Amino acid sequence: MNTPSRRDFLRLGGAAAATATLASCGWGRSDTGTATTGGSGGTTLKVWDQFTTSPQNETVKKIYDAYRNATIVRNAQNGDQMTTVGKTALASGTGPDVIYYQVGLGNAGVLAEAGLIRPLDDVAAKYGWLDRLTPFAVREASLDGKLYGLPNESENTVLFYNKTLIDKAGLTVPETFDDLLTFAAAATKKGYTPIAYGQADVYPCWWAFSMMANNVNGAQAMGELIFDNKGSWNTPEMVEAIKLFFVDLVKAGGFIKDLNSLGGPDAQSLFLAGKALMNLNGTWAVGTIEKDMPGQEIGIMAMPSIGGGARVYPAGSGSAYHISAKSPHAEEAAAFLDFLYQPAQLRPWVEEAKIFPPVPFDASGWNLSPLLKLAMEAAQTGGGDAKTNIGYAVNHGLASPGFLKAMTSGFQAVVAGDKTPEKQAEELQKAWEAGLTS
Amino acid sequence: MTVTVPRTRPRAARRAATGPPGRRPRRGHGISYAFLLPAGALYAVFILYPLAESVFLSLTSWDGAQPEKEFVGLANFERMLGDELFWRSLGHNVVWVVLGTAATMAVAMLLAMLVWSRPRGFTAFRTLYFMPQVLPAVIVGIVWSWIYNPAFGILNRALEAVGLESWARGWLGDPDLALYAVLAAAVWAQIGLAFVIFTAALQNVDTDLIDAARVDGANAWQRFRNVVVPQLANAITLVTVLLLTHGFQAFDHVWIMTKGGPDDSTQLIATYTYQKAFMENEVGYGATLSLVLTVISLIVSVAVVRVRERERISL
Repeated sequence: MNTPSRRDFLRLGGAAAATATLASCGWGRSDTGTATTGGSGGTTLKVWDQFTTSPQNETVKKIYDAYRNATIVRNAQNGDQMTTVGKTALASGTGPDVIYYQVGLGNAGVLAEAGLIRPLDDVAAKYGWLDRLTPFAVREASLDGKLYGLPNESENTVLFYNKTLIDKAGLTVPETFDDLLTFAAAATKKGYTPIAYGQADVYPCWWAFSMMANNVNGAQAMGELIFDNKGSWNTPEMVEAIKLFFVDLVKAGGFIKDLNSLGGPDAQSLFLAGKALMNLNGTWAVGTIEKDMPGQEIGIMAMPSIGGGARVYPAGSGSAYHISAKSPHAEEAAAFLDFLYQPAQLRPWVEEAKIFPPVPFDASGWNLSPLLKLAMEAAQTGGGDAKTNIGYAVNHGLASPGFLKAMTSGFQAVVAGDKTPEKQAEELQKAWEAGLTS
Repeated sequence: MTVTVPRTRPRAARRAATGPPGRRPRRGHGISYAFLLPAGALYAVFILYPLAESVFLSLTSWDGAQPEKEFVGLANFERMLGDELFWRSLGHNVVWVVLGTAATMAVAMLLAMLVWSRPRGFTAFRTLYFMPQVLPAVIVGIVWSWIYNPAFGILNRALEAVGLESWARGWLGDPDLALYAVLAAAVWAQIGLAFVIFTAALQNVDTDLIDAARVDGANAWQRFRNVVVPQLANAITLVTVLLLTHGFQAFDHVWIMTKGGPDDSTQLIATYTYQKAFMENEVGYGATLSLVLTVISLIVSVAVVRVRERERISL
């Protein structure tokens, strides 16, 4: 056996030093992680957000870079990671000053109840946020009448449709749900997938149910149920909403045969590849569709009218900026959040990140694509009267994690034929009540 | 008349082995314990402390965020006994462990036997069979999700190409099939390790005994069952224990491919634990489930080792 010589130790030391030097030059840096941006202010703010995908990631970095009153140490993580580590990080007291976290009772509500994030009513009054934020966004980020977050996204669940392909197939865009059932059968005969939709992932069925429940019950009733617990999930109307989409439309051939085994991104791929005529998705997908479907005429619409009722775009703010209750820089953090909503920052949010902050803005003169304009119209007016045509996402408000799970597994069972719509409505109500009392 | 000879060594030999009586052996042990300290400390910090913490958490109702953990005694265990999804997940785990272990061992043994005589291309075969083992679970999950994909997947396309359209289906979307579809991917991924262990063990099999059995008229199955397998007892025990414990801890392939769906048809104890603890903010109940998983894994491992040891002694 060889005994290491002094020269060997010197070599080892040299290799270690070289490794350390290369590491400090950036070798081995991960995709997501911490980056220091912002100005040369004395305060350092740790900001955790979820803008990990392109082009949002780059735009957000640019916006943070423009802030001059503090040094921003940014950490971008996806939603699942944030949910897993956010609680622990905030509880430790050494976590982020600002955290971009999902709204709702089962998400930010848990942080608020544990005292890990601070109410922002005083900050909102100081900066006049309530005068600027749209009412639905305030409702989304409030818990027990207190504002806890600053929402940053007006997202709508929509049906994208490929007008070029629909014309080529000799079909017309359906206006009513009966039209949609006929459209589905005709499109299938012509060899197209009518609607690119799969529910192998946990969330697409929440979007579908949001569209159906809002169309059947109306936006106001859904808002009252989701945020104020006025009403019930176990009603004949809800049963109808479930049956129409998860039974009747499935039977009419509206989707790929095995939709329980198709993930959300794979469903979108069918639409992008020109194999599907429509895609049940959200306005957040505008950037991808524009990039991957050049030359195609793409439209945006709400779920077709059911029984002559209004067509409603379910809206949500997804996540919101919250300030840690343990942050020693709460005032600086609030000033930073206010900066994000200044007119100068709104343009890159919309133009580049393709995100619509829930505040009024005049986009005339901005460089917006036709599809982005359609998405903006859906977000601001719902294509008509905002009170009637903009509704609510069923997975927000008082929805608990148990309720979300009851939706996912339940709608999968309905599609598989293992559960009736009546049973699903009954179980949703049970899960809803359990979430409220837990 | 017989006498029992005590199995003691002569005093001189014992003294030579242990050295003269005095302080030297004790000092030797002291140094040994000192060397054990780092490993012991790591074990205490990363195994014993988290285990104790899990036991404590299982007696609380905690959402992972509240500063105070409410002590609820055995309420979580009582709830678990009446939790239908827990029993369903446990059932899936049993299917996973039994089928997964049996299939992996059978295929790995078959492959090991095929290359036992070191045919041409042995190294290539060995590398090929072992390769899935070195792939991260996330890659295996993604690749098999593509294979099963109902829109683009190669499996359905292949079935259609050979005239078996009626067999094509949404493999991961059918509640009756999804568990077996994910299990097939997991078996494919873990065959490599069992194969390598069996291949190594086969090199120590006494071929004279096989020749003798052949001369005695034993057919191929009898030679395998009664001559080869007994000589692979240690390898079989090792592989069985590894597969059983990994089987009860299975998480990654399921999580990547189905997240426990559709309709909880692929839910295992580990995925259910994760869902409860981290997605539904029920850390106390999640800790209870994880403890049960730990106990089951321990019992199964100890039982298998004991059974195998007993078999070895009786041989």
